[in-house]
Amino acid sequence: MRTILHKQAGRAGWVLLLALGLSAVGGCSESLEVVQPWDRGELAGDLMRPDLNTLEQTDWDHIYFSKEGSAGGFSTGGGGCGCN
Amino acid sequence: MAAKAGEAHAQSYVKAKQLRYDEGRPGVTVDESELEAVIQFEDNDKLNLLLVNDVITGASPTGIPQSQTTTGASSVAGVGVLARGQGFTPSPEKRQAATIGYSWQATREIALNAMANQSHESDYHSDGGGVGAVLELNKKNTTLAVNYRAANDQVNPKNVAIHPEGKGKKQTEEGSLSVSQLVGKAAIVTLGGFYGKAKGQMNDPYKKVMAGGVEIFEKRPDRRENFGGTAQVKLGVTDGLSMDLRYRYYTDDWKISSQTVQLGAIMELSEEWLVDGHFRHYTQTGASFYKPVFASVPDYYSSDVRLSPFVAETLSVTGIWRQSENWWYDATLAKYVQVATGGGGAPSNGGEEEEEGLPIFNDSHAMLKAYVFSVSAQYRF
Repeated sequence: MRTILHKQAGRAGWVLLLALGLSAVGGCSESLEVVQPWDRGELAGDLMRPDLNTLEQTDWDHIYFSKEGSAGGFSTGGGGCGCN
Repeated sequence: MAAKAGEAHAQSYVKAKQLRYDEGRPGVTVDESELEAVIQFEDNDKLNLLLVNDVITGASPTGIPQSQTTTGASSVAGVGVLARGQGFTPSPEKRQAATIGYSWQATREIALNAMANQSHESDYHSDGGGVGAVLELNKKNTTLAVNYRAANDQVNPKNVAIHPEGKGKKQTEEGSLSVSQLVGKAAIVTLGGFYGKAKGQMNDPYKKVMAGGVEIFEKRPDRRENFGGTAQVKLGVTDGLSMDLRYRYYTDDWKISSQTVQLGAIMELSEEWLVDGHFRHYTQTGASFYKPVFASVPDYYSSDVRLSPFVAETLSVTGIWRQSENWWYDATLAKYVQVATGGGGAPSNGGEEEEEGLPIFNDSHAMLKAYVFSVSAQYRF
């Protein structure tokens, strides 16, 4: 019983923390200066693109999924048993 | 299919890549061939396709400490699972995988996406799929993304004759939520959370333990639940340099907790050349049922080092040659190291004094050391 309560309390804590974090970012966004479309030259460049080399990240995710005890978050490794 | 605030229009391309993951003998070597296509349509819809072919050779530890190995190659021959140092190279194993995804720009602010993937090995088959949504707010300065993925796997090990309980099904699900915020003309902050659960055949059918002096196949709980959070900051430092800091916290009901910190940088050396590098530090606690050797047989037991407490580090450098508007090439050289951290009966370094320095540079006690090499060619249109 104690373990179940601990588990639920821990999960609720994380959900609360995430909600607070998301609200903080959402709330802060209103007070931040809005970056206009014509100010996004640097964001659109190769150095800032999140999709510059997505395949490399996919490959690393699969290696970590196969060799480590935890996975998830930024993306999912998935596929294959990772038995080797 | 994660989206980030301020994301530029993606470019259509087809990319062919060849990768080698090499632990050295008698460890695992994977030769991977990949073909990726991303087609960007005029209305901002996007189609993704990825085909993968792996050839896997070598062997990985069964879990039995080498000094206590009592069986030879016969019990598991041909499946790449012999204990280290036995000097046996099984026949190559192959894996084919395919992923297809489509992102639909439903309105100016909302994009919906769906994906499906399949992975097949002779002893393992996985079918998966997922859906997601991306919501742009605040003149595209804030992006909310939500994703759900599920997979149905079938485990069909080659050693089923000697391990009848090794066969079975596994279902996994994961949901994630993230928010990205532009905090400047060249700065993005992203926070996220994820929750996942799995049930079914969770054992690695080839892993064994030494319990009460007898060698038996491992037994893990048939359920697992995990959750965690991520944070990322991407910053344009100068005109020719951007940096990226990532953090992930993970915890599950097998009592594994992990923390990951990754620092990356991309530098523009010239109009044609980019250098992309990252350093990753990962640490995890061991599963509650992990031990290298068991005195008796508990409810659950595993000696798989992937469930042990350890630190892992990665150092990777990629050179990208933007030869022309249409043709890009890249090459990567990387090193990955795992070092046991003790506690929970983890594999020890023989009682020797811990040496100082990052494991990536001081790997004399590494329980796993691997090099990754890759080259790719990309046609952009």
